[in-house]
This record gives sequence, C-alpha cells and structure tokens, in this order.
Amino acid sequence: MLLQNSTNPYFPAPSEIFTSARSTLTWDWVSTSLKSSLTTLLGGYFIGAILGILLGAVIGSQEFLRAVFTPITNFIRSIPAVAKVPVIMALLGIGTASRICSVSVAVLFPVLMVTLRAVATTDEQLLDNARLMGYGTYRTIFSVRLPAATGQILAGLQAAVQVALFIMVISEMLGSGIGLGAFVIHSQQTFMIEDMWTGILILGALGLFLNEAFLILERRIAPWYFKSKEIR
Amino acid sequence: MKIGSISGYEVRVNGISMSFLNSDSEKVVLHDISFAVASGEVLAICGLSGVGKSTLLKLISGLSLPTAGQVQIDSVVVNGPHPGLGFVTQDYSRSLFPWLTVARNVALPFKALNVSQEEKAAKIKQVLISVGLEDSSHLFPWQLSGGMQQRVAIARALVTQPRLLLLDEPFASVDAHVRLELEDLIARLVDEHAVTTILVTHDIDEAIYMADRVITLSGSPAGIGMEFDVDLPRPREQIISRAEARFSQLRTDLYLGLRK
Repeated sequence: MLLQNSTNPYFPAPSEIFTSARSTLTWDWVSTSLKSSLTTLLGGYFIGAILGILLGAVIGSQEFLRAVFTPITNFIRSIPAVAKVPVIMALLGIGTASRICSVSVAVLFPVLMVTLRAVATTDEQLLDNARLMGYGTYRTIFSVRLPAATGQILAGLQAAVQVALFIMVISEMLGSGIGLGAFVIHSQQTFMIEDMWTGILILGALGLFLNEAFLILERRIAPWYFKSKEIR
Repeated sequence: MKIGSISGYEVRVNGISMSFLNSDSEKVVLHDISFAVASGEVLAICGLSGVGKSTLLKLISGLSLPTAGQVQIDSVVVNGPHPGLGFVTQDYSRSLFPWLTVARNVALPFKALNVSQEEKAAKIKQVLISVGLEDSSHLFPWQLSGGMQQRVAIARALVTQPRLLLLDEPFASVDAHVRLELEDLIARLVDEHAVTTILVTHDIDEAIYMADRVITLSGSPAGIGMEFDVDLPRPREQIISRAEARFSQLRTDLYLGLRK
C-alpha cells in the first residue's frame, strides 16, 4: 500500500517489480539462476545433513570420541558460517563444488551438535534393553539411539534449512556470478533495482516453500513421531 | 502345559555389595547380600522404595557389576549382560520402541540371534497369542493402553524363551484391575515356560501371591532382612488364595518384617 505510487528508486512500486519480473523471468533466467541456486542449496543441505547426522551419531554415542571432538567441533562451529565461505572458496575456487561445500559445512555443524547431544542422552532404559538383547555398538547407534533422537534431529534439520538458504545466497554473492544471490547483487550494483527486488522476492518465496516442504517431508519420514506426540 | 524342554537358570548371589560414587563420597547401597534361586523357582524381593531392589536386579542381570562379591548363573560368573534373560521394568513407555509396531517390538530380541524367519514369525505369533495381543500386532505401542503396553513388554521378554525372567515392579504403572490380570498372566506364563523368576516389588500382597519364596531388603546399606517360603498351594487364584488364613498370616509377617 505504502509503495503503490512510490517514486523512490530504491523502493519501487510492486507493479513495477512485477513488470520487471515478467521481463526477466525468461526460461533462460529461471533455468540458470534458479537451477544453480537449487543445486547449491539442496546438494549442500543433503550432504551436510547426512554427514552431520552420521558424525553426530557416532561421536555422540562414544564417550571418548565426545571428549576428543567436542573442543574441535566447538571451535570450528564458533567461526560464523559466513566467514568460512571465503576459506572454502580459496580452497575449491568459485564453482558449484565450492558453493555446495559452503552450504554443507554450514548445515553440518548445527545438525551435528543437535544429533550429538540427543544421541548422547538416550534413555538409559532403552540402552539397558539393547544391551540385554545383545546389541552391538553399531546396532545400538542405528536401531536405538538415532531413532530415539528423531524429534531433536528433525528440529535441528528444520533450523538448518534457513542456514542453508542464507549461505547459498552469500556464496553466490561472493563472486560466483551465478544463482539468485548473484542476480540480486548484480542487479543492485548495476542499479537494476526492480530486478533486485524480483530476486529478493523469489528468495523469500523459496524460503517459504522450503520450510513448508520440510514440514510435509518430516511427517513422511517419521509419521510415528508426530502421531505418538499428537503433533498436528 | 510346559513349553520347550529347557529348564530355568539356577542363580547364586554370593556376598555382593554395591556402592556408587557420589561426587567424592562413596555411597554403599547394598552390603554383603547372599541368596540362591533354584531352577524354576519364583523369588520375590520385597522392600521399601529406594532400598536398592532395582540395583540388585541390575546386578543379577549383568547390566552393572557389583563392587564386591559375584553373581553366578548356572555356575557361570556374570560379568556383563547375560544371554537367556528376559527383563520387564515398571516403565513400559521407556522400554518399548515407539517407532516400531507391537510385532516388531516383540521381534527385537531376535536381531542379535541367529533364528530363521519362519521360526521367528512362529514364536512372535505364539507369544502374542499367549499375552492376548494377536489382534494388535500392527499397532504402535502409543496406540495401546498402559496394561496392553506392559503385555507387549512381557511378550518381548518371553519371546526368545528366556531361562531367567527378571521383573522390576512390572505392575506398578497400571491400574489395580489390570494389575491383577497381569499378575495372573505372568503366573501362567512362568509356569508354562518353567522359567526361573525374580520379581522385585514393594507390594507385600503381590510378593506373597506371586512367589514361592520371599526375601526382604532393608536397612542402609541394605541387607537381607527376612526370608521365608510361601507355602500356599498352586495354582493360585486372586480371590481364593488371598482369602486364605495362611495368606493373611504371611502378609502380616512380611509387613512387620519390613517395618523393623
């Protein structure tokens, strides 16, 4: 409403953004920027999430591994995820691999920490049962500790969606020249303010969509968890 | 009807003591406890809450090891979780896996054993029938009432035909009516399987109703207070057995013994 008749160049009227979006939303644009962004985001997210869960499960279940790795992971985790992006670019260049890697690393740590803590605090009685049934270390981790940690891991995974999106944008802005983040920063620098807004709005829609998709997926992955807790 | 030809374990507890380190002070919970359980016998360990009954049961199972003395199962010294045990605890919600159906929960003890699929399926079916859950095998534990969940736990403890059944207040979390039902269920299954059974309970009526012999734990650190045989005829029946003069005599003795 406020912006309807805006003449401020930095805050164009929605109608202008929409017009600009129609001209920029060509198949080319979608297939390059969005595809690249989604590759970075989903690739990085899944790699980071799977590694985070596996490492968290193994480290969290063994007391000596916890003692060894906690100071190391705490240190690496304390470096802001954004600050790690230039390091990864220095190591891997500015291609797809380095963007995926940046997102993975950013997703890995929160997921690892949540999984580690959840797996380290499995109910003693479940563990007693596992020991009496003759379960070994491997079976106890994957058949008892991990499923028992479902709720906490899902919460960690959900928080990591936003982290992934954030790091995706940053890694694209930092010199890749490709993807939604690059499109936004390029539009801003070349004073294509309407295009910039288009990119921002698409990023917003993407974040919203991913969050909703996560809520649907998590109920498919662990239906028992939501039904047993009567979470709607 | 007896199932299988294997007999129950014989258990010997030889002078065990247990203490826990509490920051820097050592708290002795159990002191110099000795007793034996014959093959097929049902022993009740009775004591007030917090006396160390569950700790004693964990030591017998091998889940924890005593600071002194030893437990022998069929003359073998226990030094870790012992094979051939069934364990049922008070808190079914913490011992069943909520991510698995009833049938898959009951199947869990087979995972680390080498049993063919057909044998496994047959045994699961049989045990679910014997606890009256054959129609609930596809449900999840949280879809069942407390009494039914405890039946699942009992089925899981019995499915591999254990030779020693350890029961830690197994009826304490269900309501009074279900409790009597489960007592009779356990009594029947213990008889069918000819399994040695150790029942830990704070309930004196339950101890007498279920057991062939009762020992009490009392004091701090806890030791064995009294020990007596329950000379009530079997099979027992909730109304008739509990109405017998001998039952109330034993009940009085046990009550006074625990107060001492």
